[in-house]
Formats: sequence, C-alpha cells, structure tokens
Amino acid sequence: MEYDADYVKKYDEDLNTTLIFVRRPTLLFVLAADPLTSQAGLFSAVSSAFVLDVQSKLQPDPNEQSAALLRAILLTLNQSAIPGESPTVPPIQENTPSGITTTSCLMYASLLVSLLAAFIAMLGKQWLNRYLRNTGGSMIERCGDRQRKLEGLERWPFHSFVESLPMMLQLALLLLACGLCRQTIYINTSVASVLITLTALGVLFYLSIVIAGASSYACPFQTPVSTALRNSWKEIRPRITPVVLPILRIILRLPLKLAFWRRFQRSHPPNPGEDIPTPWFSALYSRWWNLRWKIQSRICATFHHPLAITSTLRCRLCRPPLPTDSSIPEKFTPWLAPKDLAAFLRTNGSDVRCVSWILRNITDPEAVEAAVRLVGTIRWFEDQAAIEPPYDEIFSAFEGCFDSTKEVYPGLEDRAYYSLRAILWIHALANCRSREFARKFHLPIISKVTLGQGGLSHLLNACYKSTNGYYNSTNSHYNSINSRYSDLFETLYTTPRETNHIHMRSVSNLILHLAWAKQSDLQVPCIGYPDSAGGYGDWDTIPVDATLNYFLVWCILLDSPVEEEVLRIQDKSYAVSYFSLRVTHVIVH
Amino acid sequence: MPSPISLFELLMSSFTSDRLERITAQLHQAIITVITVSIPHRQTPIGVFENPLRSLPDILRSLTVWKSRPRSLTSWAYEWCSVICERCPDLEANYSGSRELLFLSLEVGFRHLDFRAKHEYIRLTHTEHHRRMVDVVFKHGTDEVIADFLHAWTQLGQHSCYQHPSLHTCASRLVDLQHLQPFSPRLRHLLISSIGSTKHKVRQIGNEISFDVLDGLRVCVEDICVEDFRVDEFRDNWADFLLSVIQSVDGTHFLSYPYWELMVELLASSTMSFRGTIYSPLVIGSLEDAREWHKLGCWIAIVWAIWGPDGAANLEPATLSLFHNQPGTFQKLERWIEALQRRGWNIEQFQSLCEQRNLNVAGPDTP
Repeated sequence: MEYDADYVKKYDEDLNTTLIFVRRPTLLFVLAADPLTSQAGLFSAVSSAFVLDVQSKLQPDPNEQSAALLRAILLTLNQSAIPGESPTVPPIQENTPSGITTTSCLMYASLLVSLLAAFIAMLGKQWLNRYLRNTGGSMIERCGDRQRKLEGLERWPFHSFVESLPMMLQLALLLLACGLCRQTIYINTSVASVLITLTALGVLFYLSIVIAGASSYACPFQTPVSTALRNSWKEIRPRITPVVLPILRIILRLPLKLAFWRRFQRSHPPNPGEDIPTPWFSALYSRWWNLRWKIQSRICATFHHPLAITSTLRCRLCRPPLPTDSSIPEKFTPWLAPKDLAAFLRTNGSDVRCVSWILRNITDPEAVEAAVRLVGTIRWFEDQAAIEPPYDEIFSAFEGCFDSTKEVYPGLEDRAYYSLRAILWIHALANCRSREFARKFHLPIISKVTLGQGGLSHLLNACYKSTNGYYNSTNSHYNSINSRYSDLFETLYTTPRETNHIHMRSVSNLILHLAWAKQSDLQVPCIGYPDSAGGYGDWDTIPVDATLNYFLVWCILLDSPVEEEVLRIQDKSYAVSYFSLRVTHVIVH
Repeated sequence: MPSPISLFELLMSSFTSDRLERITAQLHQAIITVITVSIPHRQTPIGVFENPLRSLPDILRSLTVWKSRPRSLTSWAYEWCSVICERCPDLEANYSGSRELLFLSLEVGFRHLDFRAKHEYIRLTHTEHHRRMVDVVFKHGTDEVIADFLHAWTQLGQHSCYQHPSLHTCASRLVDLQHLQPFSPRLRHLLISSIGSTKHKVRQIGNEISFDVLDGLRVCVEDICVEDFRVDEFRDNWADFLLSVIQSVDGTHFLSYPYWELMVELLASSTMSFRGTIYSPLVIGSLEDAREWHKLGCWIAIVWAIWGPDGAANLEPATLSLFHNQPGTFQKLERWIEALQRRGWNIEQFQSLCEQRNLNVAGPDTP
C-alpha cells in the first residue's frame, strides 16, 4: 500500500544516510588498518585518519628511543661533542602521556558510537523488510496482520531507534572534536585554541537550534533532540508545574522576605529576653499554610464524593483500563466467560483502529472494500476514547457505486451492499447511544430507481422506506424518527429467500441492536422466509447466530433485560463466523 | 465432499450449542415473567408501550415452525402451560387470548416430537395447574392440540403416573372424541397410547367409550405390541380394556370383529391371569342369538383361556353348539387354543372336548 511505501521509504532513507555517513571504511579500518580501502564517507574518512594517527602514539616511539641511545653513546665516546650534556642513558618511557590517552579514549569512543549506529541502522533495515513482508491470506487477514505490525511499531520504540541514529552520530562527532582539541593541546596550544573555539561555537550553535526547535514546532531547525524535549515537556509540564512554580516563587521571593524581615528587625528591636524567630522558619511556615489551603480548596471544589476522587484520578492519570477477569462482575455476564469479553474488547479495538485507518488513508479499491465489509461487524462507540467511524468515507464509497440515473454500476453490487450495510450498522449503533447522536450519521436518501434484486435491494428498500418518512417530514420531532425505525425494522426482518447466510446474520444483528435501542413500536420479527401462504417456513435453514439474535430480540420485546456484554459477544460471534467461513473456503478449495 | 457452508455450519453449531441453550433459557424466563406479571401497559420515557403479552403469540407462533427445537424447550413449554393455567383470570382480563397461548405452548412443546419414539424421555414438571388444561383442550382444542396434550400426558404417564394425576383424570374425555374422525395418524397413535396408559380407569373407559371412536382407531397388534420397555403393561391394559368393552351392554353387537381377534391375539401374548375378572354369561347368549359365529369363536377361545368350563358354566355347550353350527370355525379355534396353550394357558379340558367332537363328527365307525 502507498502509505506503507512512504512510511518505509522515509525510514529507509534515514538509515541509508546513516550508513553512508559511517560506511564500511571505518569498520575495515579497525579490522585491517588499511585506510586505502576506505570508500567515500564523510565521517569514516575523517575519523579513520585521526584515529590512525593517535593509535601510533599510544606506544613509545622506537625512533626517539634509538636517537637517545645514540646520543648517549656519542657523549660517552666524545664528551665534548655536545657541550653541557652528560652521557646518561635516557629512561624508557613506560606510560603513555595522559594527553594521548585521553585523545585515544575520545576518538575510539567516537569510532565505537558510530559503529553502533551503523549496526542499529542495519538492523533497522531488516525490521523494515519484515514490516513489508506479507504473510499471505485474504485481503482482510493481510490488513489485520499489517495493522498489528503497524501498532507494534508504534507501541515499541522503533521510531526512537531510528531517531537515535543521528543523535549517536552527533555524539560521535562531538567526541571526535573533543579528541582533536585534546590532541592539539598536547601538540600546539595555539592551534588548540582555534580548534576549541570552533568546537565551542559548533556546540553552542547546536544547542541553540535544539532550544529553538524545542520551543516551537514551526521552527525549521528541528532535530531529534528538540522533538524529544518538546514531547517530554508536554508530558512533564502539567505534572511539575504545580510543584515547581511555588518552589520557584518561594525562591524568587526569598530575598524580598529577608529584606523585609531585616527592615522589620531594625525598626522593631526585640525586647530583652524575647525569642527572635528565625526568618527562614517563618517564611517556610507561611508558605506551607498557603499551599495547604490552596490544595484543600481545590480538592473540595473538584470532588464531591470519595468515589469521585478515585474515579477522576484514574481518568486523569491513566487511560481507562480494559476490563479484566476480576473487573467484570459476573452478574452482568451470566454465561460469558470474562476472558471472552476481554479478548473481544481487544480484538474489537484493533479492528476499529485498523478499519478507520485504512478507510481514511488508503485508496486501494480492494483494501477499501475489505475494510467496508468489516465495518458492518465492528462494535463502534465502545468507549469514550474510541475512534469515530469513517462514516463519510463509507458514505462516499456507497454513493460512488451509483451512476447519475441512480443505477448500480455493473460489478459494484457487492461494494454497494457492504457499504450500505455498514451505514445501517453504524446508524443503528449510534441510535443505541442516543437519537441525537444518531443524527450525526444520517442515512442516504434512496430513490426507487436503485431498488434491484437480492440482498442489496432488501437493504435499499429498508433504507428507502425509513428515509422517506424522515426526510419528508418538515419537523424533526422524534415521532418521525420512530416511524422511520419501525419501517426500517419491519422491512429488514422479512428477509427474502434469495439472500445468503451472511446477509441473514447481519440483518439479524442489526435488528437486535435496533431492538436494544428501545424503539417504542417494534414488531415481533417472525423468523424464516415469507412463504406464499403468508407464514414463515424454512426456519432451520437460518444460521444459528441469526436464530440467537432473534431470540434476544424477543427477550427484549418481552422486557427481559439483555446485557450489553451479550450483544457484544453475539456481534463478534457473527464476525468470527464470517472469518471462519472464509478460512473454511480456503481449506476446502 | 460436503460443501464449505455445511461444514462451516457444523462447526459453528458445535461452538454455539451452549449459547443456544442459554439464550433459549433466557427466552423461557422472559416468557414466564411476561405471563406471570401481566401488565396492561408500561410507561417509559420514550412512550407508552403495549402489553408485551401481545407479542407473545407471534413469538410462540414463530417457535412452532422451528423443527429442530432443543429438547429443553418441551419441558419449558409445559411449564408455560402451567403458568398460563394459573394466571388464566388475569390473562383474560388484560389479554383475551389465554387459550391461544395455551394451545401455542403445547404446539411449541410437543408438535415436533416423534410420537412413535417411545424411548425418548423428557422430564416434565407437572403441577396442579396443569389439570385445568383438560377442560380447555378437550372443549376447544383441535385434534392436533389434543394430540399435543395427550403426548404430554402419556409422556408423564410413562414415568411419573404414581406421583401426579395423569391420563386417568381425563378418561371421561377420551371416550367421546368421535367428532374428530378421521383421526390423524398422530392422534390415533396417541389415543391408543393413552388408552393403554390409563391404568385402573381402563375398565371405566371400556364401559363408556364410543364404538365410533374404536372403529376410527382401527387398532391392530402392531399398534400395541410396540418395542417398548412397558409393552407388557400396555398390552395387558389393552386386553383388560377390550374385555370390558366386550362385556359391556352394547359391546357384543357393536364392537367390530377385528377387535375380537385382537383380544385373542393379545391374550395369546399376555401374561396377565384375569382371574379376578367377572365373567358375563350374557355374551355367549347374545352372540348365539345374533348368530355371530366368528365373534363367538373368538369369545369362546377367550373364555376357555381365562375362566374355563369351571368358571363359565355354559362354555362347553356353547363350544359344541359353535362346532355344530359353524364347523369352519373349529380349526381356527383349535389354532387359537394351541397358541394360548403355548403361552401357558391351561386348556386341557378343551382337548377332551375336541376329541369328543371329533368322535361326533366322524361317527362310531370311524377308526
């Protein structure tokens, strides 16, 4: 997909830049100590030359030792050869000078940091290749697999790994510059002063662009460090501000307090025998009382109940947790294992993110169609942090299936069916929350021209009846909505004979949710296909899941409470069955 | 090779069977609650909702077309019947279709069951309220509803007749079902089963039953001697029943001849002694007067087996009279007697009578 290609290309270029910067020559230099084999590379060429130079100085120079010995021999043979010198054997240099040692440490550290960056860059390229690799399977399975990988990249610090490479290279550069400075100090102080000045200027320049980048996102001089600083500041600021600001205020006002106290002492000399309170204690004590009073009043204004305190703190400090085995009360799920529900919520959340992302970012028709199919099986609006369904995209996909005469384009019947099913599904789920909320997801206006054959015509017909009542009404009183839902409901439950099991499951699912939304004038859906006699037959050809859905609808109509957890699992069993059907198809064929 | 859809359905059904059971149980509880707490209307913030009871017939009607209903639904439907009977006055006040609900519940519970399957046992919880069903079902029910009811009660009678009032409480209703003719195979089978399951009331039924009903049933040995663990009891009950019918006031004349033969065949395979049964000498006389020699042949075989000449004074003259008037029946009678002897009936005196008859027929010169 194009997004993945861009995504991988961006990181791949970063990694290639890193690898070019520290390419093989550095490594080859270490192994073979042959600078002639080095290729073009900025950092490698520079560092290899200096490291080679420094390496030779780590051991005593044999030429200097020989020259000293020859000088001693000459003086022994002819003491007048060099006036003022005695013929003594020069001491053998055992320890490397500290300046050379420091220089070597800095340069080798620079070298190893750059090597580490190269190593991580190579690993990063392997990870990117794995990300692009397809595991096979259907389009939906591939999308799911790809979404899992994408979420894995976001959850694990892959981005930080890649972003750390330039920082490592910058660190390597700094170490090299420091090493050079130290080396030149050892050789010549004048040259060293120039180098140190330029290095300091470079560091200051870097710090300034880091600060500038961190201060504003619009600043063009962005670096990984500035981005990290900015993000960290966003996280830390609300937490440390209440703590740091009072402390800073105290510190800043202390001189004033002290000055005031000294003035007070001067103007009011203490009586004999009276204890003079220390100004530090007094200032801190008054500050503590002020702080305590503010915290107390803040808490009293925010919370009205001890339970509200804990819940508010939980909401503010961390994301709402997924229900675990212990957090799901058994009375709500009399026959569902809590593990199933937790697993369902995880799967559902993953599907929500996957489908929303695909429909908002991808234009590949096959991927869009697969995602649209999945939309009709997902429980949307599960929690407050849930992603809004990509309703406009689905709506566009549906409208794109019809020509100017409102006839379905040949070959787009499936797409029209699944997109309309998704629209009805989202609309029904929104209606389960509230009718006002459902207004955000309005149904498409269908004309009679589009009504064709098969499952699509069934949905179109239902939509036509419902929207006819709704859009023709001048006011938006809920009575018109009621009539709309009753029409939708009535048309949907008379499932035509020619439809398949998947359609029956989805329709039963939809009816279940419409019933769960407590519509006032719902009729009892009779199960089965309508026969010529007006009754319903072939009950047993209906899938088990659809049957269970209808049972739950009946329970609702009979005022028996159906827990939402049951609906969730019912939905997902349908979705699971859908995927199982595809898998079975693959196995059998 | 099975189609992928069927394979898939098979897999899914195995996974969802538990959920099916549980959701059906929830539906059962919902139905019980609706019947028990019959509220005319319910007020909600959205509006006024109709009585949920009005939805119930549609739901039950939908359930009736579900062929592969779980077995638990049968016991639950029987429970609904009890609640409907218990809450009948309230239901009629708020919703006038309580009878419809009762009949639909019976249909949901029993219509789909195989009436020939004797080994299927479904645990039914019988309550005192179920007795009220008898009047409603036999008065207003169709033949299929009556069959549903009989199916339920024969099911009860198989296993719990000593703990709960069973079919004998509706014995008086079974004798007067001629208006339902011709009987459907299901109703016919269930009526035969019901008569065979009425225990000590069987003679009362035998005395009161309409001969039109018996003619409509056309019972044969295969209907009675079915593969069942309680075949002996069932057969003995039927033999007892036929004996009562034959010795009733009009039984001699109005009972069809196949039932006479059936009686002999049942007797030939029965282990019951019938020694305590009162012998009515009027039967032989009536048959002789009416010159119904075939029926008389059957009856003589029966009397020889049960009472013998010691218990029935007019047996030997009647036998000789039969041989004299209808010589063709001799061989048939002899065959029956042999069959009865093989089953353990002591009919030695009949042999001597046969020898005497042979002498009379052949004459003194016959070797």
